[in-house]
Amino acid sequence: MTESPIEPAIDPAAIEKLRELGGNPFILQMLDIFTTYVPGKVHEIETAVLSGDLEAIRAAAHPLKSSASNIGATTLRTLATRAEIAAETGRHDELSSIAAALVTELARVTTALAQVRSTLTA
Amino acid sequence: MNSPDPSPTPGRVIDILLVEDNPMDAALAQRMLQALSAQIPLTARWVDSASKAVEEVRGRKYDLMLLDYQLPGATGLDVLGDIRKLSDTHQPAVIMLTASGSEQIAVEAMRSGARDYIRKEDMAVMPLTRAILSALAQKRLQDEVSRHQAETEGELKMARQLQEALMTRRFPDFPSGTAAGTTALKFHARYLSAADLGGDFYEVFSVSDTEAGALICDVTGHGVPAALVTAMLRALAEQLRPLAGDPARFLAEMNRALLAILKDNTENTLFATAFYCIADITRGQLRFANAGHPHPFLLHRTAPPSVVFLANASRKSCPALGLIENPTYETTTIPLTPGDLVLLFTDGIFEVSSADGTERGIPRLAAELQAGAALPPPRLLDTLIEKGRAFSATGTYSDDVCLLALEIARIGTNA
Repeated sequence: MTESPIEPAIDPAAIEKLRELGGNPFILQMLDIFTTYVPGKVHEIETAVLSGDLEAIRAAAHPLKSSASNIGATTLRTLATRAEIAAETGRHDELSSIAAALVTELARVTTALAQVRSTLTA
Repeated sequence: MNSPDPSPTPGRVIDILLVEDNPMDAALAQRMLQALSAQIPLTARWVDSASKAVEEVRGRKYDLMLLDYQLPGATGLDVLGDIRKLSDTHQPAVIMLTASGSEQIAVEAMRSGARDYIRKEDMAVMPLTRAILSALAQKRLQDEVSRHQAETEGELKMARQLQEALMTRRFPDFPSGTAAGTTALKFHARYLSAADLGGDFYEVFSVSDTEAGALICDVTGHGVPAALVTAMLRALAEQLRPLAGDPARFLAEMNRALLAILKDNTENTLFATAFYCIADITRGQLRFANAGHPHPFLLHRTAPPSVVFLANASRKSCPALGLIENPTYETTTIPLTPGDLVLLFTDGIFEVSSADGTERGIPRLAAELQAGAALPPPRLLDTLIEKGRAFSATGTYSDDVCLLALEIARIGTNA
């Protein structure tokens, strides 16, 4: 893995875009959907990697990509793209480490989003 | 309102269906549509699967569909395929939403009928607005063209039916007042119109109690201009009925009247070939004149049968109607015998080509007529039509087919 741990989990510009589009209520709406939708997708990838189900990995990674980019989770998006490509090209060997990195990155994103949320509700 | 109304029906709210399985992408698109609704009156409904999308457009007319390409268990192309099965006006304009790096998919979607595509990472209010307005404008234009086309087709169909109705009326009996079934002259006709309005027609009328006039015409071209000239010629033939006893003069007057009508029309070179004959059952004669028309046949249904081409006595041919001022038409008289069949036709019956490009042609038609001499005349006409279809590379006629047969049942006025 070559991701720089210094890179912020969330790109503030993406959050700004959401604010322009629908103000704080819309940011909150997107964060809520993220919280209920995205962890499930990461979990699906983890499980599918264990069972070696490449199609299930691809199917979960694809929506994860756009969900991550909607809220500016740049690293999460990159990892999702890698998972999708690895599944499409049958590179089993890479998938375990990508899945592990996805879990770690999701935790980082969740923490960052909690911070965003606190600034909105404060 | 200063700006042009983009909705398909001015003033109406645009119904949009969003098909997206990712709830975050869906929320984003819905929010953008909401922002857009400040400028364009619209309603948006969201479904998250291909099957729900198809069900939705079947049940309700949507103006526009924003369709995610990557759906669970299906692709946007599958949905497009299902939508195209709906009637034209029921099909929403489709904008495909694609992931990055899938330009190939976008191209394929456009080929399958999508109006536009947006890459998801480029999704923003402005590009979405532009794509929606352009897709709706395209759709509206296409609907308008389809509607006009349907209207025109409807009118042409009606006109064609009128043309056919004018030709399939009852034929007169000879001598006039004779009991039905004992007429000395029987008429048999077949008319198949090509897809377009035709320029062929025939007329049969009484010249006297014992003389039948039969006219066949072929106006150049097809469509509305040909049909209008056809209608004019019919009216002229009616108007010139007092001259109908003299074939050459009848055609000369038709030519004069047609030229007078067409003289200001220098752009179109419309003309008509015509053959006019009078069957006289008292004298047992056929008198005819020809204006550039293919020579009709006289079939002697004797044993063995023979076919005579009805050419002018001088062997000269005379020009078609509407081409030159004061041409000379010539009346030729030949004897008729009981059992004879005079066959008038237009070029559609013999201008069919086989797969190797050979034309059916007049000599082949004459041979087929002679071979079928023993058939009852209605069967004979059907056989000639069938043989042409069998000969044709396409199995059909490309031009109008118009056949008129005069069957000489007997000569003389006594039944």
